[in-house]
Amino acid sequence: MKTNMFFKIMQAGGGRPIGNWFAAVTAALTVVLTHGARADDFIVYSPYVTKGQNEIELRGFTYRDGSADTNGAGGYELAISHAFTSWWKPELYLGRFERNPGATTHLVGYEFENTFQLASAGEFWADPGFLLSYESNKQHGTPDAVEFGPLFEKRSGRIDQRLNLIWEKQVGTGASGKYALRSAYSVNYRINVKFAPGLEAYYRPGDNAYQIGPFLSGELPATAGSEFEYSAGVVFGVNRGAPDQTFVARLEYEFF
Amino acid sequence: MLFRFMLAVALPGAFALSGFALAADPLPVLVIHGQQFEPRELALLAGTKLKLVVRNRDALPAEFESYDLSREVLVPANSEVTIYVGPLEPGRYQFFNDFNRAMQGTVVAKRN
Repeated sequence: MKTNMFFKIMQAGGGRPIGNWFAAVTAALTVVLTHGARADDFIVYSPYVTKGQNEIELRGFTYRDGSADTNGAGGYELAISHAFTSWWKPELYLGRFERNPGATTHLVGYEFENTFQLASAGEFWADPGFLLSYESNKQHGTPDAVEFGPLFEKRSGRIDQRLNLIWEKQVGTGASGKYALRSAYSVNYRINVKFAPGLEAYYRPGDNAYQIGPFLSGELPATAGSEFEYSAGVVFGVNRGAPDQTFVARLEYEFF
Repeated sequence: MLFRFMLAVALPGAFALSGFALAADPLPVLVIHGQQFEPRELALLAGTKLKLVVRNRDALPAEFESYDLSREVLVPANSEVTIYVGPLEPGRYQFFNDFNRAMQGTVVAKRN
């Protein structure tokens, strides 16, 4: 029975076999996860919320670097979400895991994240949203953190651009009084639903890390109304504070 | 005095009535029903930004998508979403359901 359901999902979307795509994305994700720091650094959030939509998301990254202290480090996280309204989507990170070079993977914490869509698509020049999240850290001596900031998305024909400006403030015992800014930008060109090549850039002055690199993303229709979304790429450090290369993979299953 | 009183009553009344008239103006609606867009050709006014309701009466979710209109929005089953389009130049703009590419339609933008 389970095999039949798996086969149906793989063959869905008007009979188009997506098994090969799925296998390729899963393989990329596996490579990243088995080599794996902060997984939520390598995502460019969309402000859009669809009422009633559920998501299961797995994403991860791993570093390649000339320094033994960094090379091979990585992380991944698993999250689920449900959009209760057309403007609010809470997301629960069931686990955030990290691995330091030469060490085993360990749980670093949980996160409760909220995305708010602030306007209808097309109402303004760019579609705005807002991110608000709370990170609960399980590592001794690491304070919890609150993250917040605006999200923007702009569609122009086949071109899609996103911009995030996110501030992080540590809270609780040992918390720093500073607000750390990080920014992320992506642009891609949708050749078709399955292929949208583009670029992602990450600006993290708090970590003295600036990165940019190519990405490939796309959607793989599954059963009616549900789909897999994948993205994978590599960002290159453009300054000495950033790892030489960071391999990133994300896989998301969206359904109603 | 009487004139001022009438003006004081009439002006808010006129605003209220004009507001009522605006609120009562029907928004253009694109319906998804029976795995089709209704209407398949939707006439819209060119040169102005418009609010458009996409109403899905089917039991399946749909993804309204249009490269021409720069829009992509998921419409859950038996619900509706509101989007803005334009200002559009006069012309024809294709859209489709990304979950069912056989479902296609056209926005026709015209000057008044």
